[in-house]
Amino acid sequence: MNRIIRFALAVGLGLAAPLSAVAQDRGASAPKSPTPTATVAQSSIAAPAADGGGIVDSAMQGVSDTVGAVVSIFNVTDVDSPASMLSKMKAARGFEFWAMVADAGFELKEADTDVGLIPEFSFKFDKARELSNADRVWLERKLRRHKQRHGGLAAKMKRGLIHALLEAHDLNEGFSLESFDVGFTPLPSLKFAVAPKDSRLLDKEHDALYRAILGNRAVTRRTAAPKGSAAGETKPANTR
Amino acid sequence: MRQRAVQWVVAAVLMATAGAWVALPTPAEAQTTATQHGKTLRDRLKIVGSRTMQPIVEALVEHYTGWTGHPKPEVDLKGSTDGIRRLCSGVGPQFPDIAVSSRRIHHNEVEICDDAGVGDLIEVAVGYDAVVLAMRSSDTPMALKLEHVYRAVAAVLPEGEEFEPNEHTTWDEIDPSLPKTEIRFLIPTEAAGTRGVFNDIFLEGGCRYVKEIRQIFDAVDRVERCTGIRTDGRVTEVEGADYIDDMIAKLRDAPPGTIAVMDYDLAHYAGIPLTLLPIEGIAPTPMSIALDDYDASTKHFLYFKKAHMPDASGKGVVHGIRQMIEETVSERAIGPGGYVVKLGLIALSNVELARQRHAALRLRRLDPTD
Repeated sequence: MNRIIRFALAVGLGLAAPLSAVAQDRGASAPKSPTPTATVAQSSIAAPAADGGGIVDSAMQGVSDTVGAVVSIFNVTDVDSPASMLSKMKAARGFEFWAMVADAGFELKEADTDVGLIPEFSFKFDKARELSNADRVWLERKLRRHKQRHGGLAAKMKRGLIHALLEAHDLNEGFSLESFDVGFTPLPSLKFAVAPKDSRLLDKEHDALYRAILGNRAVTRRTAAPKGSAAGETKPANTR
Repeated sequence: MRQRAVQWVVAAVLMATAGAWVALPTPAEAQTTATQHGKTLRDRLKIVGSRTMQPIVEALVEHYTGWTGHPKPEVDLKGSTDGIRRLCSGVGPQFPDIAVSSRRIHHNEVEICDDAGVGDLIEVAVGYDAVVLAMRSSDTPMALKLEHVYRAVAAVLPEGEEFEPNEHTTWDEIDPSLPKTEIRFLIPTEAAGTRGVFNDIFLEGGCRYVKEIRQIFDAVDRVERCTGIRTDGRVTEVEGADYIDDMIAKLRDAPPGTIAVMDYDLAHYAGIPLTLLPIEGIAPTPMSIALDDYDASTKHFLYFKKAHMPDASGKGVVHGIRQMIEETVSERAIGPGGYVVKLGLIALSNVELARQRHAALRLRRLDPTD
């Protein structure tokens, strides 16, 4: 469990940096709605610039690399209509990363868009199957092969997420990871939902239900709602 | 200045300690250790595990007893799965100290070990190997995929929304590109690590992307459907203490097209010309196995039970675990050209060799996620 919390914190911190740059980009293209976070990040990067270029350049490069990494992980560079999102998702699902997420036992359940002044966009993945020992060994082998073929920050972050999913399958304290959400806007975020292992439906019942809902993965489009409102927002009781 | 001096002293002490670990003691020193058995509960090591690793175990034991003067270890090899199970049963003189395995220990086996209070295990990989599909060279070779093997061997296959008994009789019924040859397999029994690798890689790997299997949530249910083998006579389990010799003898007399599942190193000692079939387009060669390109490549391991080692006062279950670790990671054993490699395993890369030595000599606890 601690590993998950540590990973979530690390990802959160990792995403916080690119957030500022993403927000800056958005601020440039959408002049009316720069977020406060962007302003803070902008000043924190700009301040040391007066002292010397080297450190700033490397810091800026680091931020830029991280932004690139996050964007390339999910193959999403912009948020527009749900239709274009769907086509991007369809293309992205063929990628090795999505295959590894599926091999880790998770399937895309929802792509959630929220159109408004501050658009929101997130993916929700649900646990689709338990992993056997052989599944773990196979996925670990795939990750090793991936590491041999793909260097760089983006590839490392992809592997980091898959490793976290692998570890999260069976948390020692009697909990297991049931789903996770990846959000892109307004703030990049990663949200894990864990649940007690014995709360699951009987397996056969679950299998029947899962078969029944296959093909009905929903992309919901909602009108803009005030932040924090209950417009379709459901949150598991024990969400991390 | 003073700080630098301290650093030098620390470095010197560390180097001296490392040197002491790596250098094998003289027979006289080892004899001194051997006389300490009075403080331990057992006078000799107990080794269990893989039968296919018997030649390697014999060589390790011979060298170990040669320089330590310790009594010859008690060796009881009934299979990797059995060996790991016994190693993880508990702590005490009745339980083994070392397990040899032709596959890596599974996550759930590590948990069983922890639950039994076995505590730290020290893992040493001794070389690469692979599970191969071998045919007599006189038979028509085939280029198989993992799914072909699954569909040939599994007891039941998905048919629509149900699972029906497997009725494929020839390979071309599975894939028209394959020859019209009768499906026949010789495979080891469940106790063998080789069978475990076959189940994991060929059968589970072959069914992993089958839609109907993928929709099953429960891992146990999925594994049962994928690894249950047909009982209509097309798949024969070869058992017994000398199953490797039996496997070769049965393959020699088997109908044309029979495929035997065996370890790569043993295929070279078969005594009859064999063709090793490529899987997913990659043939098992020393290069493809060492680079992990061949899907069924694996490593052979030794697992040492740290809880059985004597404490600082010399009290414990048995002496000799540390010395056996030193023998196992020595250059003459698993180095390039070492006796383990001469027995058929593919040598570890230099980087991997260094990593194994570093971890083992520091008695580092096994990390199943590593």
